[in-house]
Amino acid sequence: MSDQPINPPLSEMPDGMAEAIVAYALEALPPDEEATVAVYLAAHPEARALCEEYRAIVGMLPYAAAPSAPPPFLREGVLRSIRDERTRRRRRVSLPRFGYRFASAIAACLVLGLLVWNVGLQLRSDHDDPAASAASFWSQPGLISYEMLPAEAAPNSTGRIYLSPNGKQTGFAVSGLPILPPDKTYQLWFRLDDQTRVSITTFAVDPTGSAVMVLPVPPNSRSYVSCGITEEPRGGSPKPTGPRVLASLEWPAPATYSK
Amino acid sequence: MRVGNSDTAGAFAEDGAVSQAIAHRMTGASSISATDEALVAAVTRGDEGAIGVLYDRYAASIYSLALRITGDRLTAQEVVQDTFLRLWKHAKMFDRERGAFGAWIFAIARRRSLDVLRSRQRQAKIADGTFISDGGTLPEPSQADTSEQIVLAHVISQAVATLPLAQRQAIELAYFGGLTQQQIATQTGEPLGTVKSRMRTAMETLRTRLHALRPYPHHEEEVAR
Repeated sequence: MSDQPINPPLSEMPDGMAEAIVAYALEALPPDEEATVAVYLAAHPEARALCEEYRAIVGMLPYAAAPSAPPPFLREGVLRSIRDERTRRRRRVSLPRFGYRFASAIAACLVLGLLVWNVGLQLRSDHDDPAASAASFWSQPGLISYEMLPAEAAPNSTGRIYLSPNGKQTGFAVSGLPILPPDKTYQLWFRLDDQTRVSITTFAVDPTGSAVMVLPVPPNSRSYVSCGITEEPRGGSPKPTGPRVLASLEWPAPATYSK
Repeated sequence: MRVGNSDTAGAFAEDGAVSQAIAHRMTGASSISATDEALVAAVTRGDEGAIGVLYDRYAASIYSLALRITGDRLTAQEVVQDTFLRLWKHAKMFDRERGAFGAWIFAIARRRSLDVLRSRQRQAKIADGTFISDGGTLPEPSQADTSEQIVLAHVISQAVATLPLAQRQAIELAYFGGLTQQQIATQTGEPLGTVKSRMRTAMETLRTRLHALRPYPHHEEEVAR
């Protein structure tokens, strides 16, 4: 451990960036500013190091809450819910083979249908003004965001997914992703509550390994419960085939597309 | 282990034995028990006993955090349950290189608590000013607390409590209230620039005071890369 905090060249940061990094570490920025800071951090290791220091401090703040003991029965309740979850998983795994085949066939039809729908949506969105659409997305109230965590294939990456309150649009900001060879692309997936993966878009990152996009979400009667990004062959895949680079935990509030 | 009054949290943190104990606690290192990382690895293999040990280590802090944010004991219990269920399902996503396990699981619990808070639109409580803690009191140990946890809670709560009130308010409204800088400016009636400046000053102060406790000093290496 060093004796003194590191002293990055704060004077070289754009006006307001040091304050924005503090707020970023505290998750106290609106989505548009958060995305700006994420892109800046991706390109500036000294600022990223400072942000990590702030995050370490933020990680200690729960200890500043007045301590209270949970009721003793809660421990058994938690462990029981974990046992129940384990049992549910085992039941899913022990489905008869024909059940799997039937479910797989249905899932494949769904994925294909959704893929066609998604392509249609993207083609249609080409006629809209993407800049105006993106601006209105980032500024709308009630935008929900979740962190995406790095996987082994891109351990230094960071990402955040954003969802409009009506579930019709999504945005994301990623950084620290490796630049892929020309025959590869990144692909963003949403997972439905029945485990089906729905392709949202393919994308490339800029020379700093960053990307920020706003996209329509394919309508679905089921709820989206998490997201992930994988490496795929150029043009994308109908279902994930390559290594995962970023993924969110299961969202506390599943995203439902409202008509 | 000494747990008592000290002039400042910074002075307290300079105590070698104390900071060593705290560093051990934050990295999960202990001569008599498994590290947090080893326990999380065991959880990924389906070890229910490991999650029980992690519960004993962190449930009280998570419950306190959730209670502070939501102000409701039943909701705080739900947050604890939900947080550990998420840990069970997603333990493999924890990456030690990105920070301490405690910070990771606290972040999950905080976001869940804030989701509940926002869904119930309980911001009025914050606006009343009842949200701001009185601070500065020595924590009462809960049943699951270890002596290191008590010290850690003491040092950090003192470090926060001794911030100037306006700075502490800005940090607490952001962290425990889930408010953006703009929302804090609106709630407190202060100019946005003032809020930003206060938050930065407060964080720099905490960074200096709690520097000895940082468990992962690999930033210099990262800069060098």
